[in-house]
Amino acid sequence: MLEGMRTLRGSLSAVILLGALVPSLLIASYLIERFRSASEASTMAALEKNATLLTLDVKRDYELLLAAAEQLSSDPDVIYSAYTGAFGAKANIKLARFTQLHPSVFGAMVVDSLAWPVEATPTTLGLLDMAPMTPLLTDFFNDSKQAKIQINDIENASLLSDIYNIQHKDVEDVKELRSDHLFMVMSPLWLSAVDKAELHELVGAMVVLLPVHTLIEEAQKRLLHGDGLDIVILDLMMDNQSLIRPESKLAEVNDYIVIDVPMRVSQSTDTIVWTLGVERAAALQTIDDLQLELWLIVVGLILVLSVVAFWLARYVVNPINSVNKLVASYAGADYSKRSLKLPFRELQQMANVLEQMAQRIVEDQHKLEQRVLNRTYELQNANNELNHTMHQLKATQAQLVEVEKMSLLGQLVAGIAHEINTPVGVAVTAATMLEQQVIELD
Amino acid sequence: MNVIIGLVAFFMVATSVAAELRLWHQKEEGREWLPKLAEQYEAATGVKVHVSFRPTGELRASLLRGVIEGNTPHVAIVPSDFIGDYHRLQLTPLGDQWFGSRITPSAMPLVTLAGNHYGIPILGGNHLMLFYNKRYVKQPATSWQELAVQAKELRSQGIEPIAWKYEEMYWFTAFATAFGAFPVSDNQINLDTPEMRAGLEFYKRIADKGLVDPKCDYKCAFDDFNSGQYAYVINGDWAYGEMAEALGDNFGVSVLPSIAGNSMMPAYSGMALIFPADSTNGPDADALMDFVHFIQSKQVQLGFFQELSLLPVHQQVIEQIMATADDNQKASLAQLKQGWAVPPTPALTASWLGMSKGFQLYISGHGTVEQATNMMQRFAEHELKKSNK
Repeated sequence: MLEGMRTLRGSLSAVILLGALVPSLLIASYLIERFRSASEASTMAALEKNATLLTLDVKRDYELLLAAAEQLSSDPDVIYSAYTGAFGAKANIKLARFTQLHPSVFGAMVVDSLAWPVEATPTTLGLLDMAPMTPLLTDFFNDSKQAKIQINDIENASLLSDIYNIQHKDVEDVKELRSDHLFMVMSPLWLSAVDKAELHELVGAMVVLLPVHTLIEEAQKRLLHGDGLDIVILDLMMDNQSLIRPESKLAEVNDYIVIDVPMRVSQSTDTIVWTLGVERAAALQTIDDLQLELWLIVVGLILVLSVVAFWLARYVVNPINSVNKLVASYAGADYSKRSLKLPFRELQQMANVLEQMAQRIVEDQHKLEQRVLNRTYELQNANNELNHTMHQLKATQAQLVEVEKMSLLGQLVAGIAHEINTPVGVAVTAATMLEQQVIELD
Repeated sequence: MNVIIGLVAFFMVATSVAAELRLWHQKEEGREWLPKLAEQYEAATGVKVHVSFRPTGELRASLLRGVIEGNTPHVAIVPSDFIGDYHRLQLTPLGDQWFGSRITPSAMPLVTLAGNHYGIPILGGNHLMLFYNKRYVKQPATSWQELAVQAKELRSQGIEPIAWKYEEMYWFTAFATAFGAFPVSDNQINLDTPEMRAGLEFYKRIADKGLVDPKCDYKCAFDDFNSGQYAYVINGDWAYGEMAEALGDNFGVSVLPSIAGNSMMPAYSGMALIFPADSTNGPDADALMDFVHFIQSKQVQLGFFQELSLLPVHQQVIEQIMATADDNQKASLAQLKQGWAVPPTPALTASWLGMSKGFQLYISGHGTVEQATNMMQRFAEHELKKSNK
């Protein structure tokens, strides 16, 4: 690739591509980051808004519920139903209507002064073991002079389980409860009569059961429509105590954008704090999607711009290549007339100049060739003469060499003869001596 | 002259402050006739009687509330089992002077509690029976099995077989008795029994099998039968007159079908006059007594039968009726003989309330039959304990 970059086409393509992409990428990244920050801020604002609306709604519903409970506990049929079951049917109808109007209420009961549930809606609440509630009811009735609407928090997993199980025939229908807490609202039922003060007695209480689990579920339903955010209820605290089961809490709270919203209701000195959150990843999903889109666009742009760059570069470089070829052909001594037509004036001018140069070269070449011819003729003549001279010289040389050879040969022969004669003579001498000796010996 | 003027003035004053009595009742069929009766009485005596109707199921509550709020009638016509609530209704034992001389002896136990009479019987019966439309039924079923077979045939003709006020304990008890289940026994609550469970299961089963519509209320059981939509209906003698008028020659009466060979024994209590808040000892006691005797008179007793087709308690009138009874009336009387006289005891009053609780639990499918009868028993016992306070 680096080699490719060294070409004009490669460099031009890279420049076009980068020149188009880099600024866009930089600007887009900057904008996305700005958008991310704005989105986080917006999410937080929306969360705060929804949380506030939720607590206002819940508080309003709670207040309405308490008011309705108080009002219902002033209803003669409800009061009398605690006194005698003859009013039970009518009281039951009114209790049923009350629970229908307040979805967070799981059930309502009329309890007589013996803490007995004389009427209950749903009917299955009549099967409930009242033991967990009896102490509170007993205290409530014992304090008859000051009995007024009370809200008590009962924490009893077994009671909550019973409350939900007795209503469902199939165990599968019972959902996992998020809380073991139950708000029990008790509103006194006073039996009083006109001109019969002796009948003014506390005959019972209207009991409203508000499982915190149902409260949370109802609140969660409201949050489903919160500005498209998936807001969840992470915790519900009262007096710094969480009302939600630990195992029901979401494990990774740190992955959430969180907000705490307090709520106070009348008839209670406790403050309830709602902790709501939005999953950080989900909240910024738009940003992530945007980034993904950006990269897809970048890839697309690369492909498109690559084609454009290639075409552009080709458009620009091809004429240069033509000129290049022209020069190469001239360098290859091919000066044939081309008459190039190029799109760019500058290159066209260059080509024209080159062609003119080529033409001059051709002309000069012709002249040069002529002069060369002439000089060649002259040189040939000179050469011939030299050849002849050389020939003569060589002959002379050969002759001289022969002479020299003979001379040398004679010397050589003489030398050899000498060399031979000497030892031979010695040998002859020796032999003669030997012969003599031999004769002597004989 | 002055004396005469004085006496006339006194009489005028006396009549201008003549007692006014208040009568409450729940007899739907008597809504027109009873006020006329009161007018007749007023015309004869100058005592105005204000007649107020309370729908069935509300009269007891209205009376109890009236006692608490100090707004009770002088007299009320009620089912005699109301006497079980004598304490709350502030009923006091009645002396013999309140009773007519021709009350049939069998009516007196219905108003007697612990040897005291707390009410005056004026009507007998008040029991359930089987009514049928002869247009669809030639021979009324004598068993539920038979009725189930007839039901198929009837439905093929586009006629619903039978209806009654399914969720009312008065009707349910009639079925339970066929299994030997009686809500009370010697003023003791008797609901958590195998017999009651058997009765409940049968009752639910016939609804589950589609023989009867469990959502059928009184309108369905009365109006729709009269308009010919049902072949049978289980209803009480209070509906006898209007049904007979509606169906004419097609009107039929029969005893309730047996269940597995056992007769259904519908409860009967009769209707009685009671005097809440001890009105018999009130300022209008004299006028009240006179009115009460008027109600018990042969003329009025006969009027109950002729106008409203209700069974009186006047012995002579009863004999007259028996002598001229048609088949339908005979069937009604036969059913009454098979009935179960409800004792006017606090236990019975409490048992109606307890039964309703457990019944709703079981029929709705939210409890087992054992849980249902247990709930019946517990609630009834608790109600009884409160009533004795």
